[in-house]
Parts: sequence; C-alpha cells; structure tokens
Amino acid sequence: MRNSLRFGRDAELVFSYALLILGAIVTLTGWHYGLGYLNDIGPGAFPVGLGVLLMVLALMSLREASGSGEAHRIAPVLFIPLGIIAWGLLIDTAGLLAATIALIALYVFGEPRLKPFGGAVLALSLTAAGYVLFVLGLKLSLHIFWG
Amino acid sequence: MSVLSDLASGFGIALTWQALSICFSGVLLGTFVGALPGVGALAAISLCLPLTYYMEPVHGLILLAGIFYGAQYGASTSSILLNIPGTPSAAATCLDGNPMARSGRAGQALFIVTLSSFFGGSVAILILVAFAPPLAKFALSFGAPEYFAVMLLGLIAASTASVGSAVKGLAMVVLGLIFGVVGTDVTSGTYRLALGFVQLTDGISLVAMAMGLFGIAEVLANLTRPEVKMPTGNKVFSLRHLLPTREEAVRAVKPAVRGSLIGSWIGALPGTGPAIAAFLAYAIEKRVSRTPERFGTGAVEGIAAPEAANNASVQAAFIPTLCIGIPGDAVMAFMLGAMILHGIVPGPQLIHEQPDLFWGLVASFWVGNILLVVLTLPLIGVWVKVLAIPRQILYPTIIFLICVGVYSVNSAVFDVFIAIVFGLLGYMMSVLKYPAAPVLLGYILGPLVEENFRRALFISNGDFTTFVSSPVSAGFLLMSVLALVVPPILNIRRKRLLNDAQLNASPSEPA
Repeated sequence: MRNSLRFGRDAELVFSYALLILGAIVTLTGWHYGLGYLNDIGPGAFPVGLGVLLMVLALMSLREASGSGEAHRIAPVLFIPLGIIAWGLLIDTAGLLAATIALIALYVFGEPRLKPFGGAVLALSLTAAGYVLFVLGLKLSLHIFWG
Repeated sequence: MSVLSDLASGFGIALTWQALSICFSGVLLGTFVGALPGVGALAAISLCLPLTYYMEPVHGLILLAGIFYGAQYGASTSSILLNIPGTPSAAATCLDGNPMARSGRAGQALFIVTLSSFFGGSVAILILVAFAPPLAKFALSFGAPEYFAVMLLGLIAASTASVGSAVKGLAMVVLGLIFGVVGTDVTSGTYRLALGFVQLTDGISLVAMAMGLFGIAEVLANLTRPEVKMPTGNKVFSLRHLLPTREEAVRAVKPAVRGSLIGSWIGALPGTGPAIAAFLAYAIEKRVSRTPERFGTGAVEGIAAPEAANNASVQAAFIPTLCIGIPGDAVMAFMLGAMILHGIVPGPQLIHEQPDLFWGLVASFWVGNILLVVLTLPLIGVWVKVLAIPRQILYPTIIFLICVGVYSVNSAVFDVFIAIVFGLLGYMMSVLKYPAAPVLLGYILGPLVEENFRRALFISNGDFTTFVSSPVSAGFLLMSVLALVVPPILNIRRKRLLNDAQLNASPSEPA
C-alpha cells in the first residue's frame, strides 16, 4: 500500500467537479422548496441562487486547477477521523476512558511517532484531565466508565 | 463626557477579579498558540467557545477576544527568535526581527516589538472608543437594503482581498452561504438541505463546523505534510540587554505611529486582516525611509511598524463587528456567532441596549494589552520553550479537546461526526489551497444576508431598485463591484509586469 499521496491537478479537478455537483444538487433541491414571488421570496430562491453561483464558480475553478503536487501521508487522514468516530460511538455507552483509549489507539496507527506506551499514558492523562476540567469543573454529564 | 463615563463603567467590569482572570487566561492562551506555528488563533478560539457557555456573555467574549489579540504578541516572539512566524501576520516581523536577533539584539527587538504592539493596540482602541458611538448611531438608520449591501461587501471583500485565487475564495464564500441555509427557514418553516437528519433542522452547529475546519483540518494538514525540522528552544539569544539605545528608540517612534494608523484603517475595512496591515506598514516604511537598504538587515523601523499595524488591525476589526454587527473577517464572524449563541443581538443597538457588555469588552482590550506587555517580556524564555512541545502530545490533545468540546455543547455525538466531515473538507481545502475562512464568514452571514434580502424586497413590493435608491446602499454595492473587479485586474497587471521583467532579464543572461 502506498503511504503517501500527491495532490496534483487531478485532485483539484475532482474537488471542482464535486463543487459543481453540489451546486447542481442545491439548485434542484431549492427548486422544490418553491421560488416564491419578487415581493414574497420563497424558501427555495436563495438556495437556487447559491447553487447556480457555486456551479459557475466551480466551472471557473476548473480552468484554474493546477494542484500543489505536494506529497501527503495517508495514514493520519484515515486513522485520526476513524479515532474520532470511535470516540463518538463509545462516549455515550462505554464512557470517557474507553472512548479516549480508542481515540488514542487509532491515533497511534496514524502517527507512529506516538508509541503505544506513550499513547496509553497520554490516554489516561487526558481522561483524568478531562474528568477534572469537564466533569468536576464544568459539571458536564460525562461518565468515565460504562454506565 | 458620556463616552468617558461609559468607558469608566466598562473598566469597572473589566477590572473585576472574574473578568481579570478570564482576560489573563485568554491572553495567556493566545500568546501560547501564537508562539506555536501550525495552531491558529481560530482553532484555539473555537476550542474555547464551549467553555464560554458557562460564563457571563461579557466574560466569554473577553476570553475569545483575548486569545485573538494575544496570539499576535506570541507570534512575534517566535518570529524574532527563531525566524518562524507563529501567525501569517508575524511574517513581516521576521524580515528585520530575526536579523536583529542574530546580531545579538534579540532583547531590544522584543522590547521594541512589545511596546509597538501595545502602542498600536492602544491607538486602535482609542479610535474604537471615539468612533463607535457615532458609527453605531449612523448605522441605526440602516434598513434591510443597507444591511444586505454592507454584508455583500464584507463577503466579497473577504474572498477576493485574501491571498490566492479570488475564484476559490468566492466559491468558498458561496459554500459557506449554502451551509448557512441548512436548517429551518424562519419565514416559511420549511426544512432546507437537512438531508433528512432531525439534528440538522436547527442548522449546522457553529462549534462543530469551526472545530472541524480549523482544528481537525489543521492537525491533519500538519501531520500529513512532509516534516519540517523545527528549531527548538535551546538556542535562546541573550536577553540581558532589553532596553534599546536612545537612537533605536527614537527611530522606532514614527514607524510605530504610522503603523498604528495604517493598522487601524486596514483593520476596520472588511476582508483585510492583520497580515495585510503588517505588510503594508512594512512596505510604506521602507518607501519613506532615507536608507531603505537597511531593511532586511535588522532595521528597527522594520519591526516597529508592522507590529504596531497588526495589533492595531486586530483591535480595529472590532469596530464594524461591534458597531454595525458586520464582521470583516473569519475571527470577527466567529465572535459574532458567539454573541448570537449567547442570545445577544449584534448590531448598532448593542452599544445602547447592552452598554455593560460593549464597554466592558472595550475596556478589557486595554487591560489585556497591558497584561500582554507584562507577560511577554519576562516570559520570553517560556514562549521559546513552547516551540519544543512534542507534536505527538500536542496534536492528540487538541483532537481530544475537540471531541469533548464539540460533544459538550448539546451532548450530541452527531455534532462530533459533523466535525469530522468539516475536518476532512477543511483538510482537502488546505492541500488544494482553498481558503477556509470565507466558509465560516459565509455560514455566519448567510442567514442574515438572506433575511435582509427577502425583507428588502418584501418592503419594496419586489422592486430591485430599493438596493440602489439609498446612497448608503448604492455606495456599498458599488464598493462590492469594485472589490469583485479590481483584485483580478491587479493580478493580471502584476503577472504582465512579472512576465515583462523576465523577458527583459533573459537577453542579458549568458547563453
């Protein structure tokens, strides 16, 4: 598996096309809300206007596409969002400690400079600090363990 | 007299122990993130927004504002000592600040920078105090067409005046406006662009969006880019001689005054910001100097002017935000969003309806600037050490704080997932050189733009000439057109000049 990705002109073209498609979706969806009249603008008029504008600008940005060509590591982009998803899935059910361990464990996969032992210490420290700051300090209803 | 008594009552609020401690925390955190390259003030401000829910609105705003202007002070320390600008606005300070440090005058450079920053900030606060009441009074006469026109100017100027492609900037403003549409339409009650998610009927969470765009995205961008070796704090320059010579002090005065005025003017304009103010002040100083060849080699004028300008600019940016309710850049848009979240209606009525909040905040700017002078000089060694914080601890800590911060607002996991979406979007934008700030500006101003546009047409019975019938509205629209047309023309001219220069240079080159 390649561990880095180069963002060239193609990546920028894909992003511009994505904006173009989004503009089209917003325009069509807005159309269904109703455009209204000039003296009583409907809920769809503003989205339609913005959708059309986004399509025009996306088409203009297609012409400008050049790309930075910089090489970027893929692992952090995969594992850090996965870690945040894991944190979100666990926080209500398994508690702050388990959620934070999952977050940092996946972070370690994405960023090898953080070693597993260091990650474990960091997860425990963050949970303790989070408990003091958010639960004791700000009275946030977060539970540390299962419950 | 009334302004002075209002300001005195503001100091009464800003000097309470809660306000003082919150202001201290804000400027301390601001200096910390300012000294750290790769972590912007906006990321720190969005991280702290959930904390402000537990505070009085005025205290919350004092904290957020303190981070913003504190970051400017922190950034200059790393610029001078290590030639690394902590924020883009401090890049101009590197040009002469670092050569001064390398020639053994780091202490003097930091002293001049700190006092110039304080001077610049103070001038802008004085201008804010003097102009806020009449400007707010003038803005009270604004109707829907004027508000629509001034917001349009803010959006266009913010996207075209920034560095980089104007098309990309405008596309991001429109994207932000679309994000602002998501939720329930206040007029008809229609759910718009909510994609079937009940959680989106109240709109996209500001905290989730900002933390994704400026927090997660920044961490991802820093971790995925090829590693740049950071100088650590070991190489500290001698700070024994902090006081500049009499000649250096005299040479710094006029540039600091000019920089303060330039910064105050630039900061109050929409779509500008401290980086433009700092570079403009530097360029003007070089032009008016009788010895421009000294610039870049450690000229005192080259640090006094940009530092006074960038601090004046960040304070002056509050003028349109607090007096008219129109933010000039993303940080001010965020402050406006924070006010709305606290139930405060921003606009010209703020100064009359919430004088304690308005004048308390203004007075806190001065308190914060004085705290920064006290903090910056004795703690220079600490700020340099900040650069040595291991990134493998800093970044996961930021991610953890983002998770808890986003979740804490509504105890909603959905918002955490929204933050991821914006984090990945922000990361893609960062690598493809699409600016993120206009997205936030568009998102916050979007609902206000639409409301005023619809109201203006409703009141005028669908007559579009309502937007040009008042001189104020017509003036703002004309400026919007200029903001749209002038930057691309200047760009084309600049490219032509560059091409001509290259063509002229090539024949003389040896074959």
